[in-house]
Amino acid sequence: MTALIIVVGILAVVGAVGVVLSTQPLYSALSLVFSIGMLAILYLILNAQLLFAVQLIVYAGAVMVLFVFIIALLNPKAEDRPILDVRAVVAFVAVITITAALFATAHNGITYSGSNFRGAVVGASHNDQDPAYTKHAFDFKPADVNSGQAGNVQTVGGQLFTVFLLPFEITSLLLLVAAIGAVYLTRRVPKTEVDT
Amino acid sequence: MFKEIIKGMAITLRYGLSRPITVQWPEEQKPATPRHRGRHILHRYYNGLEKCIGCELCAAACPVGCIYVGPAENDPLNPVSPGERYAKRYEINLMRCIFCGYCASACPTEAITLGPQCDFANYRRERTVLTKQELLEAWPKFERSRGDMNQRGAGADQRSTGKSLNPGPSPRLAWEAQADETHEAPLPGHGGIPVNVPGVIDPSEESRA
Amino acid sequence: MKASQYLLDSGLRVGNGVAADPVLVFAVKAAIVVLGLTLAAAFLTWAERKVAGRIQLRYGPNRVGPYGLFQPIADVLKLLFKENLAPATRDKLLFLVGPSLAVGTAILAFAVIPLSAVNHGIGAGYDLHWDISHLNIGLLFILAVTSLGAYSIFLGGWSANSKYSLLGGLRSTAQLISYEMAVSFSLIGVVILTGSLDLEKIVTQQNHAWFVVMQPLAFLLYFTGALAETNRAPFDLPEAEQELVAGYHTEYSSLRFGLYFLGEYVNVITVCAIATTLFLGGWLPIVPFLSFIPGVLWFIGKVAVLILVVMWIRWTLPRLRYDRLMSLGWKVLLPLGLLNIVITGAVVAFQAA
Repeated sequence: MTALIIVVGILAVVGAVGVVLSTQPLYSALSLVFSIGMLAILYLILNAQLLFAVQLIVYAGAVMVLFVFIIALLNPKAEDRPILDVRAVVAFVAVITITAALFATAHNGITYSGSNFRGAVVGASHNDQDPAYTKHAFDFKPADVNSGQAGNVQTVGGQLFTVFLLPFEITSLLLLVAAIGAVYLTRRVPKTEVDT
Repeated sequence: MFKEIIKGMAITLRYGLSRPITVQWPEEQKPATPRHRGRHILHRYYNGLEKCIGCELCAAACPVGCIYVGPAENDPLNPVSPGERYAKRYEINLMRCIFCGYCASACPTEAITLGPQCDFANYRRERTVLTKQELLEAWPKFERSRGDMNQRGAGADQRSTGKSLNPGPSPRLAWEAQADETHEAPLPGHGGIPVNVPGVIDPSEESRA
Repeated sequence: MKASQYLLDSGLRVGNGVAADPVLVFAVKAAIVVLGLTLAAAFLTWAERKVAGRIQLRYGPNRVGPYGLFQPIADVLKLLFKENLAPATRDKLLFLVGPSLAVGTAILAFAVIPLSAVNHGIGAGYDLHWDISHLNIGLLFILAVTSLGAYSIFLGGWSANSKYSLLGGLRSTAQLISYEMAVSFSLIGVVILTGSLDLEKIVTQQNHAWFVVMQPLAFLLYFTGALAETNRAPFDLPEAEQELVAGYHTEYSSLRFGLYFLGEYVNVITVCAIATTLFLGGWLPIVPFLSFIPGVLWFIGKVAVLILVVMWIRWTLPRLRYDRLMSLGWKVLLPLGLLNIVITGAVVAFQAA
């Protein structure tokens, strides 16, 4: 499993580098899609099943599609590759520093153990005697969070609709406001007669 | 809106479950209509003489120019057609023919008509130029051919059996002999002239329009 | 953790019997499904032409083999020998990626669809699952993979570097992402009823009554949305022959065009399989009396009936104009899906109380 994590991580970095270094804007967008896909696989490895699916459905399947639409409609010209001057070196050093800091924090603070993975992908056992498997969504109580099922759809849903209800509703209201604003801003203005 | 969709789908379902109206050619074929213009046929009289007198009117009438007629003089003792000349070579290029039927309209003796056969695709270009052998209908008609519709090339019937035909006395000779005798044209039925010779209209019988 | 250990823990519980290697079982199942799907898609082309012919009061192809069954082989040979024409200014990499992605996502979505019930304890602790990979978020996986399929059409339209292809590709992609929403909403009703995203569990809970009985509106919404997702008539304006030349696959010829076609038919099969699993009871018989017929045959039969209905609709209904297509997706199917969720949720909540 470690090998898989390493490979997926490297591919994600390759995709991200491709976003910056490619000359064609569409290739940048598609590299970003690839990187998002690799991130989704990483989420799956880390027990976050719902996040894996939502990342692919929403991010790679809708948001990036819109990005790609814009690129296709506006058809921007291909750019030149970024020039390696002092600013690029400074940025590179900064990125390396931040990555090393994150790595050190992760290594010391957050642990990964293999026993979590089994619970993540299959939701514990498929044994019909196991109450965790046959639990219906409405049986959920907030105190029942099983560490192996933290990223489970039932778990996340239960938390969203009970413990985190207010932030959830406010966020959806915010999205609604954004959608209405977009519709309003792009409405077709009827031609009015100008009195001179 | 749903009602219309359901009604439409019911119609297509009914069509889908009913018997198709396709005629599976070439296993089943619809009979040709009487005036169907297919492959040409060179006809004969009932006594075996060819109707074509080599006048080349069909070649002149053809808008495409796909007919070639090579006339020759009739041997009086062994005539091919009841006239002074007959068509020794008669060829139609089917790749050029537009099957308009002008040649059949132009022919004075109704020698050339268009028959029902319409499938003559071939892999070789030279086989689409039909010669008199293939165009001429068989004789006797009702012995070897399927009625009027001999589709495989009329002349083939004669060559395959090798029987020589005896068409009987030439009507022309009999006609001239009778004319010498009676100083009038003989009527059909006399002197070896077949009874239903089309195209021979006695001027005295012409009705005044 | 080794790969085989992972597969063991993920439910491919195999004992020390004959077919004990989980990787081998997985590979065999995957090979069967992939080959079966491509063959089935090839013969769907034959079925489409036969059904179209019968509806139009004629026979379909009936010359090439008995009842024209070798027609797909003749078509494949024709496509192989066709000139492989491609625009010189095309984007070479993306030109190839488009059709491959179409077929790939269509087949990948089939990986979680169970063809029959789980066979418990065949050998010593041997559990045979009839889907290639058993995910407990199976439904979300299918939605994720089909939303990735939108890229295939877009890339096909864009990479050909021609304005007709680009317009067709953009239209088709917009249609796809609009109807994704409507489809997702119609599936949530089923998820509320079962409380699980696991496809096997959804099928086993239809033991007493199929979900089409309890959620007829959701079934209709899903079917309509799925027809639009697969770009089938009456929603096939972006790829119709009379419009925009041929839409996003104008510049494709020979084998790549064949791949797009194959991808579309595999998509039709996948979508009908999902509808069968979620609404028509998957491998369950109509009446329990008939359960001696194996579940696989029931499943294939139901999918075949749905595919016939899809073809029947194609040759009956006229094509929708693009703006009416979009307004149908956003203004009709989406609100009806929301209504379905509200009603289903209310009924389930009141019953639980």
